[in-house]
Amino acid sequence: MSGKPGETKRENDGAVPLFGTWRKAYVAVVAAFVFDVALFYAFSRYFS
Amino acid sequence: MSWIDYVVLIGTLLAIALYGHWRTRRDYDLGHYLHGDETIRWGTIGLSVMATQASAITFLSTPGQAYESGMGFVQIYFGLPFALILICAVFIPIYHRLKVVTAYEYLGQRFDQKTRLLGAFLFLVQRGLAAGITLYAPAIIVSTILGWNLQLTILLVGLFVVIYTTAGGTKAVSITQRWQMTVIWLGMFTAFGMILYRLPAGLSFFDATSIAGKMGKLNAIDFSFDLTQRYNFWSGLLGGFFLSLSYFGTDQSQVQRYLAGGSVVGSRFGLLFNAILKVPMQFFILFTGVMVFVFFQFEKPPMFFNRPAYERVQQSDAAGPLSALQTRYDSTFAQKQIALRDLTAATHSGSAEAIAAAKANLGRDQEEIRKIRGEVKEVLKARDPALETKDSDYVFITFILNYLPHGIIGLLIAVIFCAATSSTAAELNALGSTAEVDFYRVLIRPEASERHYLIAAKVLTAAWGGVAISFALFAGLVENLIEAVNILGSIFYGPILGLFLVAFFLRFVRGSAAFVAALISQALVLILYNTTSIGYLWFNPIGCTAVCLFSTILQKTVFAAERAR
Repeated sequence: MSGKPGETKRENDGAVPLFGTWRKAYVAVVAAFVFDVALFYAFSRYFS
Repeated sequence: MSWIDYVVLIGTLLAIALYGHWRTRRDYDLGHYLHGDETIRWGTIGLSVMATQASAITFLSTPGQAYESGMGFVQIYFGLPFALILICAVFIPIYHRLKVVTAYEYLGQRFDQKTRLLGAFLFLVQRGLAAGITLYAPAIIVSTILGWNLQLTILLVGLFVVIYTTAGGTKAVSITQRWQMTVIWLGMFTAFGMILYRLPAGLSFFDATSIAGKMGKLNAIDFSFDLTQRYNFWSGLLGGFFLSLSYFGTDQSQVQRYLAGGSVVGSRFGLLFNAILKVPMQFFILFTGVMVFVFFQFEKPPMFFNRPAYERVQQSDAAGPLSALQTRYDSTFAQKQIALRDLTAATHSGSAEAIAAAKANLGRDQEEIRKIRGEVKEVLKARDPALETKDSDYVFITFILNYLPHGIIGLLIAVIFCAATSSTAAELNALGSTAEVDFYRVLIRPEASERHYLIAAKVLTAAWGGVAISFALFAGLVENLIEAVNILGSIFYGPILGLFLVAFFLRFVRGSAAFVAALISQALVLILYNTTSIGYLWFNPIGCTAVCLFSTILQKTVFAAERAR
């Protein structure tokens, strides 16, 4: 909830746990996706 | 199924519903009913979003899909993380800032009431029909295999969902979905462990995966750019992006889930949780299907997985041809065992020549089995033209019922019903809320007390439950029903997504231009559907692009004089 007078809930929502900023959170999602694709590709190739 | 399985099944379903009811017993107000409260945190939102998307068919059909065609289906989810990032960055802040209950309220605030009603109407039509399918599809498979009465199964499961969804609203749906998803994961991990445990002694996980790979079942990624191919990396990235953007961004059954906690952080984290986990989750479900495939390389599977249908036809004059095919099948299967042993030995030896020779022999036997299964289906179809010969939906449930111990069977059937009830609950919750907020308040009772609206929301949720159950009860009368509803969804999703994209990104476009553009685009999609052979997935981008294009043209010409709101 709001910590200071006048602070809205939306402003408070700007603090991003774990990642610091939303930009970093989105980059982490893209990195996870690239990792998944690389892993699946390597996995398929290795066992085929 | 034994009594232990029934205890596990009924106990799991009831315990979750009662827990949801207990947690929402003091929430009597409209706010809790329609959009939950701050006690719903991002973890619950994430699981709730996941549970809404994962219907029972996900857990029945996906392993069967991998059994039949390998793991390429995972690529359809490749556009999902990018769509969810866009929704987090653009859609969620706007929905929260305007404090909307339904996504279509935003269309009303951005454009006008007629555009809002159009968006809500398109959603109600396609999601109302889809809710019936969400009930019907697992019921037909489970009742066929277990010999349950189909109508009674639909009625009991449907009424069960309607009761707890109508009583508890959004918060009850989100809380129950968290536990339903937990049961689903517990069941799927248990099933995977049991498959590995049931593989032949001496066959390691490495050997099993090697066999799957060498039999072409691990083809997860295909980078070739081929428009005629249903699943490849590029179609998954582009098509999957549009599909996910429509579904998560504009479908109220999902929007209501991530708006439930009331904070931007909760909504975004809930979606990012799915953006990270959805692709590995689908990979795992498909891989489970691949392991079932390996299991059935050593344990002889039935020639046709829908056994009750097979036995029904067998009792007619088809017994002779089916028996001859069974003899060929048994002999080929025995021959295949030798080829499998050779392949495992060759893999251990590392000799490329021996591996290639064993693969060739195995491929020949596998092709023969595929031909025999095809001939069996032809015999069955000739005797019973109404029979659905695609039997891959019955693969996983056949494995569950015949090769897992009692108790675990009950848990896995509970997984199927948890998935069915969680998706249906979210759909009914969204249908009831949209009907109340976007139609009842706008067209019938603009001024009434909170209590009045709360009762109206409950009545409308129950009414949509009635529609879904009725549709499910008569669903068998429509041929290729599941595909029909998918087509229906694709026809409507494009123009709905187009309306939202115009609202977000084409700020100069006003209500009348957007409304007329959506109508023209919807008509265009319907004409294309009726007059061309374009694959139905393409109607999503076509409808969406048409709305953006027509609304721009109309705003610059016919509606140029319309004032900014």
